[in-house]
Amino acid sequence: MQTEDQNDTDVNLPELLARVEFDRELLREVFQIFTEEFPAIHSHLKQAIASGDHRRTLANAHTMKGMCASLSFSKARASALRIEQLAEQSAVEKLPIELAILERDVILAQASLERICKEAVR
Amino acid sequence: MKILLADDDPVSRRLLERALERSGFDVVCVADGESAAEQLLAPDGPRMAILDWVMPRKDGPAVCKLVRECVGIPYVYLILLTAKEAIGDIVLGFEAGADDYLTKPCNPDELQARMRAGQRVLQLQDSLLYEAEHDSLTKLPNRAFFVKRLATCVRKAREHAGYQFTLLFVDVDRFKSINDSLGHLVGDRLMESVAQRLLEAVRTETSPSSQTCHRRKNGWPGDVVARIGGDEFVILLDDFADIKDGMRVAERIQEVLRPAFHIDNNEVVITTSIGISTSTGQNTNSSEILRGADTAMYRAKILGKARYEVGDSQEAAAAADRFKLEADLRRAVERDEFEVHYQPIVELADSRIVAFEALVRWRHPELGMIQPGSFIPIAEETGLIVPIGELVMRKACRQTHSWNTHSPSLEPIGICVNISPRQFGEANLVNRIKTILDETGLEHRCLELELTENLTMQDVSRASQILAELRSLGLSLSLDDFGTGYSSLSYLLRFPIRTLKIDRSFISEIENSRESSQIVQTIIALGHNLGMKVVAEGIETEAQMQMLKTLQCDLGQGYLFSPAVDSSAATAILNVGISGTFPMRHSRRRAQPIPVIKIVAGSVASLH
Repeated sequence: MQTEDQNDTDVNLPELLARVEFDRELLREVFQIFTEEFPAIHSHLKQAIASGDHRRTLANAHTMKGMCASLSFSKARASALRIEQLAEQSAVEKLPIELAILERDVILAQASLERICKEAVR
Repeated sequence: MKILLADDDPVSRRLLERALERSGFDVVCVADGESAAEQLLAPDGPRMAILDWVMPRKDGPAVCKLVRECVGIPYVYLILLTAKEAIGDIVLGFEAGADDYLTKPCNPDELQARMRAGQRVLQLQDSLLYEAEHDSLTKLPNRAFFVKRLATCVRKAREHAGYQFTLLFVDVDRFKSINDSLGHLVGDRLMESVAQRLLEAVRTETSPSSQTCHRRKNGWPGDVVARIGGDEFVILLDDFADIKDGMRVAERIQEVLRPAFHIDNNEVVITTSIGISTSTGQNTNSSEILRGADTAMYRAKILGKARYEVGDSQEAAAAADRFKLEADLRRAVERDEFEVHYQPIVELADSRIVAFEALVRWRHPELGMIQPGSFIPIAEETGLIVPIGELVMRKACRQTHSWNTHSPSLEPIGICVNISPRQFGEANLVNRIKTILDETGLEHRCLELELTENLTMQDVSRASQILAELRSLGLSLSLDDFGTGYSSLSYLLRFPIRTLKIDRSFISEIENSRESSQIVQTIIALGHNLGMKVVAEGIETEAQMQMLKTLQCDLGQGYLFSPAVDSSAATAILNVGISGTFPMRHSRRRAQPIPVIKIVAGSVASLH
């Protein structure tokens, strides 16, 4: 069961709000973009890892890292960074596990942010 | 200011885009390196760019390198976006040509601060560049700018067939004396004012609405007016297709610089020597075109200053001569520099003068008498033949009326006047001729209009109508050049022509060529059979005259009798004759038109 603290660390809200200059509309907009784009990038990353293509793994992990960083998904960003580093080192055996961790971290972060956005509307 | 944002991460891109828009930037977004490079290297591309380090199709550093290698585009301020943990790579980014970097995700305040810094750098750059390429006194582009622009134009000329440009070197005459006598401050103010007037002259003359230029539609802002020396200016006319346009600009420059300059209670009048040179298509060479304009400018100085000269290519010189002749011809019409000379037409049977042919001469104030062959083609092309033709007709009719009035007991003399195709095409030709006859008082039956065959070919029914109207005025009509065109004998029946003319080329051979003699004989028979009279032109010898008399040619004209002479000499010929060749005019016997028939060369062609 996730605690309130864990949910909060999934998304660094003060940092995120400062980045969007407290524009809730902009926040909802970029969250929407993330939600729409994430499945495709995740799928590319998964395929790249499965096929052992380190170059594509690196590129997609980099993009994923950037997107998570932009929304202050701290844990997810750290997971994406680990995948990037593993791909650079060609440490293929750990990639599937790290991908699973990344998926979990993104889902948790999305849920947190969604809740935050709904609370803001109320 | 326009800024390019290149980032494949859509979330990051949107956040940055909003932050930049809030700062007042006009943001262009792309998602890969190739698109970024395309935008930055395009004309009027963004002056600032934020480039993500890792992007598809070209990364940020590669785009920086490409932009820095490109010569000739304004400076672009480049910022690389890098991840926090990749900060060690920033040295690579600077070496690739980046000016600054930002770490992702960006802090909005940091972003704004770095953007402001970038704008300051660009402003300073632009200011330095402007000073390096502009004259501090007149604010015109300077020699450095002009040289760069010239190189661009030369490259364009070599790459694009049909593209041309023109240079004008403008030197203020005796500027040193003005500086020495009135001081350098006045000299400087004078140069500032000259610069302004030059700009106005070029803008006016080369604007899209100008009627006088034949510019292609590439936009006139490509023209450059630059100051390249103390009293020297150069004007580059971009995409000029005709040297006449360059000459028009030169004339406009002289016109705007003519009024005095009022500087600190001094009234200063200047003139300029101008040299003009044009590019020579794909063989254009910078040094040659510069040398051409410079040489022409110095030639203008040597020839007395306050003038323009064209550079030394043969084509340009020929075009310049023609342009000047055209300009002189227009002035000649305004000042009536034309004279009418008269060549007698005589009855071959008794050498009696029955008419004169009126021939135009142009007495140029500097060049003297100019023969029709030199200016009639230009007059026809420009339409000046219409007013010239009217001048000639009016003078000839007035003179002939004077002859006939002063000797009322003698048979009236007729006058033959040529009508050009351009005149024939005028809508109110008949009315104009009627007006001239009314003004001069000449009896209508004394005027004969000499027409060429091709004149009637353009629109046969219209020609037929006009000729019928002219005949209805009581005039006579003769047909010149019959048979040299495309008509057939049916035209002789269709049009109310009373005269056929034998071209001088047949007459000159009549003594030596049996064929010529037979052609002449045939033409005479044709004319007589159709009820026309026949005139032979270009009779120069007694033998030719005798042969023509034997062939029963009716009338003759040529040097044997008299060349074309001015009105005084023509009057003398009428009154006293020429060495017995011409007897005195006979008494008035009948009140009928004076028929003058001239057989036209080539009419034999239509017989076949």
